[in-house]
Amino acid sequence: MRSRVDVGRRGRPRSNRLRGAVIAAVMIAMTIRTMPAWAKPERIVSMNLCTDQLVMLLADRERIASVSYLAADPHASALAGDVAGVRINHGLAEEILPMKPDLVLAGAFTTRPTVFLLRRLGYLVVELPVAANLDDIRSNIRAVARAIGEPRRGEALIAAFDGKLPPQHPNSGPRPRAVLYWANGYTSGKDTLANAAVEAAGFRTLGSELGITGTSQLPLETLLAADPDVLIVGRERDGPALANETFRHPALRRAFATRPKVSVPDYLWVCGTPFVADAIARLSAVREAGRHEGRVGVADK
Amino acid sequence: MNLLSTNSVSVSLGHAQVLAGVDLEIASGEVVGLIGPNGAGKTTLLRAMAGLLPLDGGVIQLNCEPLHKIARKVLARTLAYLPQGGGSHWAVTVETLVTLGRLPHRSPWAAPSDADRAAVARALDACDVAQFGDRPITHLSGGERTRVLLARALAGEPKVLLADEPVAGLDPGHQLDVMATLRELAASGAGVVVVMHDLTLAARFCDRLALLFEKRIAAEGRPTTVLSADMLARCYGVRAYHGTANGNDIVVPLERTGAGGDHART
Amino acid sequence: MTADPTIAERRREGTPVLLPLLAVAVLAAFTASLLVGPAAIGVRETIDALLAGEVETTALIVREVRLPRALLGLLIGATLGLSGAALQGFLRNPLAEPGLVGVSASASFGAVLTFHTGLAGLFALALPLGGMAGACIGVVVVQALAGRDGSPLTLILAGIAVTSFAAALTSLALNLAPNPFAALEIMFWLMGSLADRSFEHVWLSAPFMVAGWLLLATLGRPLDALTLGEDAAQTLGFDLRAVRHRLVFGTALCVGAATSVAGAIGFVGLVVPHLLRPLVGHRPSALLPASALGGAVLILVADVAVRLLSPSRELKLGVLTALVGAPFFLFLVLRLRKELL
Repeated sequence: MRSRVDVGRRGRPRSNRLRGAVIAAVMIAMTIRTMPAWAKPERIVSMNLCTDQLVMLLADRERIASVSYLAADPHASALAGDVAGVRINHGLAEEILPMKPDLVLAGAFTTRPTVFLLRRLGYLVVELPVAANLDDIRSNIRAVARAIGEPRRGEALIAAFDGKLPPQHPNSGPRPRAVLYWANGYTSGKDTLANAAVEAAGFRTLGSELGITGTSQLPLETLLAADPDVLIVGRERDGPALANETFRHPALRRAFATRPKVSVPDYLWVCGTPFVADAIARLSAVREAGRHEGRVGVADK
Repeated sequence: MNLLSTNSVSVSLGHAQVLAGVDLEIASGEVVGLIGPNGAGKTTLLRAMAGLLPLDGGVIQLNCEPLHKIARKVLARTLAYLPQGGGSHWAVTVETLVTLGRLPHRSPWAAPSDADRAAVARALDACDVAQFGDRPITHLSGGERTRVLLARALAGEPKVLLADEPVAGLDPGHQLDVMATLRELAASGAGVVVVMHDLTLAARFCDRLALLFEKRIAAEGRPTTVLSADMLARCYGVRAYHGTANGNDIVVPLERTGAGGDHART
Repeated sequence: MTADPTIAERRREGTPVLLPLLAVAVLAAFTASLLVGPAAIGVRETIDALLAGEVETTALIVREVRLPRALLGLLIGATLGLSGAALQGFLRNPLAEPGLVGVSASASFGAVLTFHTGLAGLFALALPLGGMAGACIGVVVVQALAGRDGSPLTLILAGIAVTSFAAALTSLALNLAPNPFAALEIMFWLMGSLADRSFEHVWLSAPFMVAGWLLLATLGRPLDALTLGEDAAQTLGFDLRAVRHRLVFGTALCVGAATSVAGAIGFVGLVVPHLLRPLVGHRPSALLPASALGGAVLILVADVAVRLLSPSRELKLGVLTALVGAPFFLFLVLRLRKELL
């Protein structure tokens, strides 16, 4: 279990490298200096974990008036370490109004009453849909970049993201079957970011094969009967939780005693950010390792 | 002139017929006792006369007008119904409860008028419960509660009072008081129908008795005729002692005859 | 004649003291609701913001965030208190509450369906409109199930049936939620809250709530008469079927509208009438206005408490009322048991 946490930690330098690349790309873009004439928002408030991270990747820190409290949660946010110094909000109108934002970024499903209230009061609110595939990540980056008046930075970030993705190889080698297995025995299928990431890493997923759309419960029996090659689990949260009991089921442990069990930290792919590329890279590495050893994969334990 | 009359009234509860062709007339100024064995349909007949039940057949008229054609408010002002073993669902004071009897007379949203308050005071007095006025009804004994509920019915100053066993559970003194109160109400021009089981009391205070047996009126008329040994044997299945004291009939059931009572219960 | 004429006067004095007291409490709680929030705004500033014409941030917060919130607290609290008192009076059961007739559950389901279909994201009023549609369907079904007579028992049974069915459908919608964020948002909404509601919500729900109140307000006398039982009430001139219709539609209008804008807030409709009943001499008619005011006080105070206890990440209002309400309910049950023994 310890080692799985370590996998998560090892992810950090990679995401830092990505950010380094992004910043470099942005620098280049900045030197071209062909800024459009429109007024750029100077007091951006983000109320959603996903827009938090995108705006932090795309906008200069002094233009960000506030991000949501979740941006500072290291389990959920890939940029938790960079939040220091930015004001935190909890998605309440009373917190946001005194900041006099000239742009509010929100998720399409969260803090509904506040979004409508802010709109009613004449504030510019840009809502971002939940990313369900890799294209959504690109369009979300583009949407935020356009909203904050940084289209070039957006394109640079997309380019960096695409650069990190493994090359598309539809016929190169076997496509082992992976199963996503979350706390409480949930799995993800079509129209989910995690599923798209696993497929992009060269796997087939049990969720897609079973025709599951969205996230729903997967009976342990079905999972075992399908005999998947790789088990991909969400990172176990600290502290006791009934939700984690499913991971400790003896049948599951025995079945995957010799097969690879990969854990991907939530912050890499809970949101449609470029960090999803890190998750894909990690999964892709597991698949490659399996190919080289003539097996499907190796246990990351 | 008849105040209230039922003409060949038939009533069913569910699929069971409870009354079959009942004819009964109540004139103003008289107290009619409704007697009969358990399950004979006394309460059903009283509820039908109060307009609470749909009729299978026949008609019930109040002041020569069919009951169902009379407006609710008018009917409520004319007729009072005292259910058997009724009580209060909330712990309201006695006076509040009795004042409910004035509801049909009050105009919407208005507080009780002086006339209302006077009627309530008279009713409290008549039933000997004025001393409990500000006590919650739940703090009274069963007998006291019964009298309070009668006071509620009297407070509406009805032209017709239908009382279902108003003396059940009362001590002998208050039984006499309640019956005397009903007589007074009749004396003021009202018609009273009272369901009861005490035959002596019925004989003494009622002008007429109607003996209900097997969905029909088996006998109707002066108490002495209705309470004949033959009738009591046939309908109640009892042999009774008949006597007189101070000019009043005394009817005391002594033993089962074994015939009618069992029959009545089937 | 021994009747003490002052008895009547003394009793009538009971409510005229209570109602102004409750009204003052409502006013105080309403003011507190305007003064409390994550943005620190002083008393003077709040008053200035309410009266002054200019649109400053402070004015905006007070007028467009706190004022509608306080108004909704008032309206919804009064709705829950009033309908709870009316239902307890009609069913003659101190354990009855507005949720019993199935309106809350069906309104919740209607609202959840707008989440589920994504309609809720399109425009602000989709959610409350969905809730009201749900309440309407719920009340029609309850009426159809309850049949033509005015019997309280069939009403309770029909209400329980509709409540269970709507709750099951809500769970199903949660199960089939398009994504975990939507499911979470549905869960949060179901817990009941007044956070960041706007005047749009007030304008949408207030007419329905007031219409519901008017219907319920006509029930004072029939409810008083029902103290004597159904037969006696009918012979006092009340059409129990019409009474039940008014009760059910009145409750549906106001509770449906309340649930549609604030989610399900439990226990207020149960606790408030029960607390105030002894203070109005147990009279169902006197309990109606007292309970409406009491409900408003309770919701406003609870909504202030929610903001004070967790200023940033708000505790949900429905959670708080249940946290306070459930132990009270237990106490109620224990006391009832003692009375019966």
